[in-house]
Amino acid sequence: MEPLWSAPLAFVQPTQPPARWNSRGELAQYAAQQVDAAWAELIRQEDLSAHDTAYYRRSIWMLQITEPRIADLSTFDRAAHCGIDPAILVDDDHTRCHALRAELESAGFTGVLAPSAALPDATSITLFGPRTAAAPHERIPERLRGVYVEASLIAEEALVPARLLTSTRRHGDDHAAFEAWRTSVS
Amino acid sequence: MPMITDATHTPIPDEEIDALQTCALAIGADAENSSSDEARHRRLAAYRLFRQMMIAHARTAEWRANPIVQELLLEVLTLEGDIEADEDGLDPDWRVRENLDRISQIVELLRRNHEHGALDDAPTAARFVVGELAGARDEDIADICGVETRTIRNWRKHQPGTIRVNGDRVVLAAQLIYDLRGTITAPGIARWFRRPRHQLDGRTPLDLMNENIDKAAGPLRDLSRSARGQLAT
Repeated sequence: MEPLWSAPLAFVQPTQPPARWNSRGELAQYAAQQVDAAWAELIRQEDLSAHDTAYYRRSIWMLQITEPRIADLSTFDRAAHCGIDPAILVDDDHTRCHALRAELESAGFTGVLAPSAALPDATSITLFGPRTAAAPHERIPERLRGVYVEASLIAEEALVPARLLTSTRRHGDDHAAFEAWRTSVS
Repeated sequence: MPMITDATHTPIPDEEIDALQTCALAIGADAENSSSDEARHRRLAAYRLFRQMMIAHARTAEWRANPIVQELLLEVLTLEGDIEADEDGLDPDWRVRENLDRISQIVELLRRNHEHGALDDAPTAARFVVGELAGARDEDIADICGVETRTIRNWRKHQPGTIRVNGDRVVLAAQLIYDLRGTITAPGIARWFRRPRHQLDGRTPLDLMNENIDKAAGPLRDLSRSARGQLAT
């Protein structure tokens, strides 16, 4: 399976379901700086219990990302400093992130670093729009930065790590890192 | 990963799509220990084979009627210009490479559309469901498809020719399983249909299917595709 969402034909509606940084019909490539955060996203999305994890198998890809312009909202402080309400970055409702994406794109950003909503203290990285996978260590021409991403398959049919079941933030739960930040600034 | 709407589905044999993809890949394949001139000649030869194959396909009604194939033909023409312009065969700016990757993605789109479109036929969908869920219990498959358990036993013994009850439901079940099968085991898929989900306001996929199969399709397709792709919650 290809690791990245592509859209080779304009008249074909992408089928990527809406998520935090993409509304219906838009594409986004979702990744995390920590492998645990990628697993936590799966656990949160699928609301997995210890019993469920036995049934899930997942390929894990490592991406080497070199993009023209990434918005760094990786901490709540940075977001607040930019005049963005940090709460929206981890809110269960994604509506305001969709609006923020539109603003970021119009300002020339091709992606965003943000706190992981699923695993407090971890960081997610999202690229806006379609991308194509290049093999590891290929020299991607300058003109194709923002089109190609180096991708290496590092695990196939991997099992969900059970240790993350308790540390993953579930839907409806408070985000521990956000709450700690809010307390520290109030 | 994207999939297209059913309106653009036309029946193109799997092996023809496979052959096309193989041939497209051959154009971009690196030839070790060859000079740039040899590499360019090899690439041109592979391209001509690919073009011949496309021209042959374009003569058949199934291919000609498909809008994706029409786009593919345009890409093939652009590729020819890019290959000819790449005089040393090294493709430093990835003009050929970019075009080839796009062709590859379009062929993959064609394949997914073909596979998904085939499941619109209820008997085909029923065969797909029992085949993919070979490791699941008959009772669970019966619940998913909205049929009697004995019907599933019959489907396992004899390839179903007609589906008399809940054909739309069998088709939807097959389409959901198509998306789930790469990342969830057969017993896990059966369980997926029975688990309450916050995305469905605490209801299960089976609840939605039992209420209204037409209304269930949209939310359940999103849910099944989320299980398969990248995530950001």
